[in-house]
Amino acid sequence: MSHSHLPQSPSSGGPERTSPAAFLGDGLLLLLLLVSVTAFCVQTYDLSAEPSVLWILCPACGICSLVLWSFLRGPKAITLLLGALALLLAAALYQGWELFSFGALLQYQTAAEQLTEAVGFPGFFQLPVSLPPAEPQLAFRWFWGISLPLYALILGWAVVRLRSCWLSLALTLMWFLPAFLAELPFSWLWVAAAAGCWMALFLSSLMGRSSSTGGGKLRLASLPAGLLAAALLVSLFPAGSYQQPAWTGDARIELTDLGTRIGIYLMSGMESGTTAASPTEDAAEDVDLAAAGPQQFTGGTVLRLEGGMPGVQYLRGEAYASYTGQSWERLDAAALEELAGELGEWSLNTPLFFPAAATAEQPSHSLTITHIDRPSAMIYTPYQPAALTGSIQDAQLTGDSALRLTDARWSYTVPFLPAEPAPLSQDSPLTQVEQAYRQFVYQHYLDVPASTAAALSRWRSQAEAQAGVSQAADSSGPYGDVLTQAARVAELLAATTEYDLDTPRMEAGSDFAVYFLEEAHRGYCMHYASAAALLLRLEGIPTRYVSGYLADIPASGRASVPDSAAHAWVEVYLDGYGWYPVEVTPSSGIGVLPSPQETPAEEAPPEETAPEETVSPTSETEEPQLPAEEEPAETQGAGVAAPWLAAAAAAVILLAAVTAFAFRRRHRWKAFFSGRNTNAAVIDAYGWFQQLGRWGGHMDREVEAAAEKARFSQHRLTAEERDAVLARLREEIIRCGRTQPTWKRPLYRLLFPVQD
Amino acid sequence: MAARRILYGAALLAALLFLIFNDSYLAFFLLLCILLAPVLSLALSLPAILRLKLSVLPDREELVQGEDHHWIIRMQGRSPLPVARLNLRLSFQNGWTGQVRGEALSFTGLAGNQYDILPMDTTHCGLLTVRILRVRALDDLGLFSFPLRPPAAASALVLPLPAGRDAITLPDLQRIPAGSGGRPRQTGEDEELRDYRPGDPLRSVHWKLSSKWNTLLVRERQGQERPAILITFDCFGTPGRMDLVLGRLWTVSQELTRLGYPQEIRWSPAAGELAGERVSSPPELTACMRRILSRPIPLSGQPVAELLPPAPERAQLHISFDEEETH
Repeated sequence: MSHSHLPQSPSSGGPERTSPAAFLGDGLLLLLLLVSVTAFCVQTYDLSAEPSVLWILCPACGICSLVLWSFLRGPKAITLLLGALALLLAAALYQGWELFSFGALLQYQTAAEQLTEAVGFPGFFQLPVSLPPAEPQLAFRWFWGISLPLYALILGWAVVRLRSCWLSLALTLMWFLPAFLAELPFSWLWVAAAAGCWMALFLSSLMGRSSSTGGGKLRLASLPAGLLAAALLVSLFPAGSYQQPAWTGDARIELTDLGTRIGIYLMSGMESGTTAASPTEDAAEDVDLAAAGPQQFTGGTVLRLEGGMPGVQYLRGEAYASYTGQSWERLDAAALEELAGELGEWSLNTPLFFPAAATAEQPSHSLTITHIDRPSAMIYTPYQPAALTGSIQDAQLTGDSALRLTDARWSYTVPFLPAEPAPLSQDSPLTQVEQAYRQFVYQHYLDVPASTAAALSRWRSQAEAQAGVSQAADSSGPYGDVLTQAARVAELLAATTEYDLDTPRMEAGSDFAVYFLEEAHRGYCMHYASAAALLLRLEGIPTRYVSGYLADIPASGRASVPDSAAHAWVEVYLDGYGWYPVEVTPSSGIGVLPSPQETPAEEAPPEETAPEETVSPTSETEEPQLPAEEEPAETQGAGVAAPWLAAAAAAVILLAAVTAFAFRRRHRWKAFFSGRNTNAAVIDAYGWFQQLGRWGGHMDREVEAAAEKARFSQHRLTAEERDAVLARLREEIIRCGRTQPTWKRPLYRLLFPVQD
Repeated sequence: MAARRILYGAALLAALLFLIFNDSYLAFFLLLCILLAPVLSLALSLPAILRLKLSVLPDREELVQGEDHHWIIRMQGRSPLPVARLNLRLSFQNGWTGQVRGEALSFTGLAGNQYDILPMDTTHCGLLTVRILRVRALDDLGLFSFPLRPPAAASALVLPLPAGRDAITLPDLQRIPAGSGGRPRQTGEDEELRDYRPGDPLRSVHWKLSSKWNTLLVRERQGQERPAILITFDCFGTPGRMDLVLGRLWTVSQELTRLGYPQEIRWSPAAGELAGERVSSPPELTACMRRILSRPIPLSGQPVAELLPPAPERAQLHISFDEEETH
């Protein structure tokens, strides 16, 4: 309970007496705020102002405002003076409205240009009027001469009269915020000065208006202290040499991961993060193309990367061999047995599946991948994984498509070697094995259903006619012809279709690729990768569909991979080398990842050459996409979880509101007895009686009389009178509570928290 | 102040998150400013807090029931800087009725010497005591709370409202010997003359000199006390009834004191316990009242007559709520 009997405390209508300390403290604070705001605006927004504005007009306006709000008391006096000022202002505006408005528009135009340049927003504010060149200086004088006194008057009201730190902060910070948000270059001198003033405002905020003398003394002491502190900060930690602390990067990743885990936990219940996923849970057996509809992403982090190379990095997951029209499937067991028979001792972990392992070069990079939502047995690998060593030494091939660990893990490190594709040397011991595997590949990775093949051939001829001559440069090197054909396919796809993450599902029973090319004409990476794989197979190039993630690793080497970075692409088989990734999805311009072409050439991973040849010149970014094997589940999960999440959030908000309401009612009930103002307690109790009337309560004549006395009498009710009213209220609440039906009682107890 | 602490915590958290997710110097500067603000606040407020002196006292130490008096809380700030806020928890106790009431007060902006007045509850008589149980001073930002040593308790004695002269019955003073009761009168002792007071026994009037001076004069023997009149009252009941009993006791004792009759006031403050005070002057009467009013009265108890041995030779007066019984 705040007390107001102090002889030196002011009344509630404003300062009763302005002490010299209060006058000085308020004055210094007001003047400094006014000068710092004006100087900041002039310098940062490049406003036109003569020096006299800053050093003469500002102090003059501040002093006038200080004197007005310090010494003028009483509503009549203030009204009279403000009325006179308003009349003067109106007269001035009547005389020079055109000049004033022109000056204001010029200043606005200048500031708007600064801001739009900083944020890169197209378009500028155009001045709707024009005046002779000689007029602007006069217009600026009119602008400052009218706007600055007005602002000083308002700021003085907040600082001197109301002593409100929040209003003062709002009135001053509003001029700084646009520059902060637009990251305009500004002088730290005025920011530090304003920060010192804000510190002084908050340090004296507890006293507020209750003690003008104490508040003034404190402002007088805290203003230099705040200014000194701000100056020390700026001088000890200069902005020019500032570097973001290293721990903030880790904290950012940790917080992002935490947010992701919480989001996943809320969306999928208790199972996430608590049970280790078995290898078979990491990826679906098939890619259900029929379920590929509009994409939804939570934005949550899926993987955390550390190490690797700066730039775009493809993280390969699973590869699929068989296309059915509605899905991509892995090789069947019979084919895998055949493969094992053909390769013999090379059937497992053969370097042919990962060509970099076949070279003599040592891995030049390693990438540590951490799963955020749950441990995983499937390994995501950058191109090209070099050797199964270290934390993945126990990894094994699943067929010839993916690497899996023997148990699910949160984190693992993959060594890799980004290298250009080159055929095996003739004397390599793997040559014979590669020839055997090549035969297998040509047997199983060229299949296209007959109906699909016919439709795709028809589309190909039409697309060739429509697209004309290839604009992409031919690829060079030993596999230039294959890569050129892949680039042509990507070019045709980009020319005839539109990238769209909101592409609806295909019609039931349709062929996914055919529907995409002939009906929908729009799609995302799943569509492009599927179509490209089939088209390349028709060209006689063994191709398979690959799902994974597309990550952008910054220079720090640490990155978070969101679920929106899921992606699909194709791998083509290069004779004598092995599987090689090719990007076939065009950019839509809304992707968040830079294109592979932006990565340094000397550090570019092998797959970066493919997008250069496959993506059209105008499209430079890759599109984030869900991995094919996870996409249906995640899409469905997001769709199902969103209403639950909203419902849970609504329930939490409702529960919090009910709790706050109950707490408030209970607090009010207790305040009836503890408050010193017995009249207020009785009047409040009268209000409760009226509320009680809706629940069948009745009010006594004595209670009404007491309430009337409390409301209209000059005398204060005694504690006994108050207690009598409250005792009657309590009895009535208990009596009414007993008459309420059961289903109404919780609400009743919420409204009237009185124990029997 | 919980709101301020929560607000500061939220601001600190926001600044920290801003620094983590934003690499600009502004975020760093903002965080430093927020971290520095409490340090500044402590530097400015601690000297004032440590030099604050607090005391509490009544505006009158003895007063009569129903009078309008106050407690004064005096705060002396001996630092040029003010104390932002002072929170007090007070306890008001009436030793007679046993009522204890707590109250929390908060003062903002204590600069220089200031005081506050709180109304004194004089509804019932009793020894009122006010104690400051807890004193906490806040820093300028309202984030830290420092305990201060509470000042000594203060007390005020609320004496009963005297009963009207017609509401009391004095014992038959004619029967009370001027000297010590029962003892043989000794001759040759010094005697003093004084003006007659109502109630003086007629046999003490010096008729000869009275006729000569044309005013009634009485002889009063010096060097020997009068026998004390035994005044008893039952010390239990409701505060309202006991206020009236004490009012009568006060009036009776004052009257007897004025007449020069010492009294022995006996009462039973608790079952089986007998207390007494000899009163022959107003200060002694006040001291007796202080003793009576400093112990809470029970609603029921043992009549004092059951505890006192019979003394038929002494002048006695029993004061009750209804009427006085004299012997």
